[in-house]
Amino acid sequence: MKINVKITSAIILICLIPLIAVTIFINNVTANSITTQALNHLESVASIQHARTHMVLEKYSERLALVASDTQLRTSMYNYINENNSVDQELMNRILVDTQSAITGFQNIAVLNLDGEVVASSDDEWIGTNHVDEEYFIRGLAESSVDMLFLDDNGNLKVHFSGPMILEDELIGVVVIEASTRSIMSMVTDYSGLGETGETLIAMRDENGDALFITPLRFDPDAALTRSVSKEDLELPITQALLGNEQLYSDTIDYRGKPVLSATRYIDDVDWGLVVKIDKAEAFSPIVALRNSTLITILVSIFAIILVSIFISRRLTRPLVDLTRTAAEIGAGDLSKRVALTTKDEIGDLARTFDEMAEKLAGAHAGLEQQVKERTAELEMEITERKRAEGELKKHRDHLEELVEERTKHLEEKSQELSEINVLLEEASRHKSEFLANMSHELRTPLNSIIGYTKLILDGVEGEIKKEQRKDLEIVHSNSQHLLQLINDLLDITKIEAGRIELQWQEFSVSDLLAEAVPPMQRLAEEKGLTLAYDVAAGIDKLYGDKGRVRQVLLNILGNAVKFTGEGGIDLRVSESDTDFTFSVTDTGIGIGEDDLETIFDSFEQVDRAQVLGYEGTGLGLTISKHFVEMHGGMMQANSEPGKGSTFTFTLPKKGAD
Amino acid sequence: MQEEGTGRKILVVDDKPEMILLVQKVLKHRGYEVIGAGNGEEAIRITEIELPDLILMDVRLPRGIDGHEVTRRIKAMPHLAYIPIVAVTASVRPEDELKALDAGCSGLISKPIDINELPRQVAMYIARASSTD
Repeated sequence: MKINVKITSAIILICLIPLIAVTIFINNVTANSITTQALNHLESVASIQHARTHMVLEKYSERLALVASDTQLRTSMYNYINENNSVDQELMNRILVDTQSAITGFQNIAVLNLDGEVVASSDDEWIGTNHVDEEYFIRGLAESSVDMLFLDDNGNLKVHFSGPMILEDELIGVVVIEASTRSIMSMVTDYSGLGETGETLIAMRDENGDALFITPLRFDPDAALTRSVSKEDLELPITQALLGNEQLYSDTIDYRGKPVLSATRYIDDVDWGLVVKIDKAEAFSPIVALRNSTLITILVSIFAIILVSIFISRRLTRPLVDLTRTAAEIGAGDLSKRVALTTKDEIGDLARTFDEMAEKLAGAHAGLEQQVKERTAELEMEITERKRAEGELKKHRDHLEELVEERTKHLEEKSQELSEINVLLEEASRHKSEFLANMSHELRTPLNSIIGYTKLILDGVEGEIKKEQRKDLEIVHSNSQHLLQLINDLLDITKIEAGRIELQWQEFSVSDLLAEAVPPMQRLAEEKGLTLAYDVAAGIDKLYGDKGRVRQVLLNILGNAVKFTGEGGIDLRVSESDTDFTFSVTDTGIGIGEDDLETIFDSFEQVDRAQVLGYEGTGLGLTISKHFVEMHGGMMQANSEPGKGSTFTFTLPKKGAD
Repeated sequence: MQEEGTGRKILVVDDKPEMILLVQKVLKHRGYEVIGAGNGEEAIRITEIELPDLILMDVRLPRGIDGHEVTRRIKAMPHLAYIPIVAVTASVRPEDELKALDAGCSGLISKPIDINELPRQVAMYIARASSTD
């Protein structure tokens, strides 16, 4: 929800809820107050009218009494009755006329004798008339009454007063006064305090017991002494009034059928009922007016509050909106935009800080753009350079490609040739292998016989031989042995160079190996007068390798040691480390020079001196031995001090190398 | 001391008579009777007649069937299969050793024959054969 709407709603709620609550409350309180006031007011008016009615009746009674007690009148009446003297009559007439003209409201005064005959009157025409049946005469004989209202020939409401004339306790006649009802009328038509619809009602009990309105009604001017309300209509206030109930009624209707507030009074001296009433509508109109004005006030307030809150909210949030918009603009790319707010609150601070930040951002951006521009220019230069280089390269490449194609074709031809040659070579190699195998056999077979027969003779199988014969034969034997060795070495080396040797791996015991290699050597050594000793370190038992080849190596080294030692002895030591077994043969022979040590393992290099001294040897033995050792994954080396002796050492890895 | 070869007959198959003679001279010393055959067919014939205790078979017989074939044939004959045959070869190639064993030889002796070792080897092969009989 937008902050605008939030603030507006908040303000509206905060203002309206209390306002409405309070207004409604005050409205209700005031309405109640008005109601109470209206009722009280009516009561007051009722009391006032009641009092005034009393006062009017009293005034009437006083006036009647005044006339009825006039001494002159009474004396004259008495005299007239007894003497029938016209002078008395005239005197009475004069008094009556004077009195009538003196008192406003008196329209006619008459004196009646006990027969009901008018003996004197302010109106000539009355004189001599008889009113014996009239109520005023009948009642006037007994008492004073001032409540006999009637309508005259013109329909005007008048009232008769009557009362006994008494002289010295003797009833002599009746005084009758015909009066206007101006006092009552003016009282009843005084609507002050009764608004537009209120009035005072006075009713008397008619011969049926119903309530006969005495005075004209506000809304029925002809009602006087004509309109009545049934005594059965108990819900009408006037009925209640005649019953003597003096109360406030707020739920009744009047003679018009309209709802009214009414207050009733009973005037007991004359048995009249008095009602003061006012239309409820009028009485409570202030309340309606109040409610309407309350409603209008509320509506106007709502309207005003909404407007004001919208305005306030806008004012508060406009800076934020500006800020948001400016941020969006900057975010969209326009770094020159600023918020430029001057409000002194936190939003203003935010805006200023924001502007500073935007300023920095624009600056950094400008800086970056500059860098980018520069770099772009540099890059463009580089690019053109590169492009140029590329162009050249391409040219070269194209050229190269041509060259390459040529070369490839050439190579393919050559490759083809090589393949063919390769095939031929392989065939040749194969032939060579077969040749080797054949040669191996062919060369050894004659030697077999030579060595065999010679040995045979030397062993004495053919009989005794002479010492000289023995010596000769031994030369033959040893030479043929040497020849055999040469052939073996030659074949071996050829095979080695053809890569056609394979080791036959097996586990063999050191003791077996030594048992095979050492005894022959020992014999040779003994023959030269040399010692041959060997020592195997404790715990060494099993070796892993090609037993035959290892034996060959050992024989070779031992043989060399014996060969090149004139006096002293040969020492063979077998030891082990974590990774391999070490065989070392030390002799006390002629030794080997530094230069020769370097070449000693090369093919066909035999130490010059040895040759000079006539030692036999193929020159292949060490090469072959070293090769076999290395095939095992071991190493072979020689150390020597010319004149002192030499040590040849080789290692065989444990568990064998592959 | 009685020589260990007494009463034992050895057949040497080799195309060179001097080889047969050599072996004869070496082994006679030890009491063996040595007879020879110059080619494959002759070897088979003589084996049938003489029933030697051991045959030393030169692998390379230039004429006719070679040593391996002779071995196979002899081994194929039920009444002769028991006779131990030892190949005599100049080759040291493992495949040749395998070939010999495949054909039915009990072992190999390499050429040139070491005349010091030969008696021992012969005795060993004979002893081995009779122990498995």
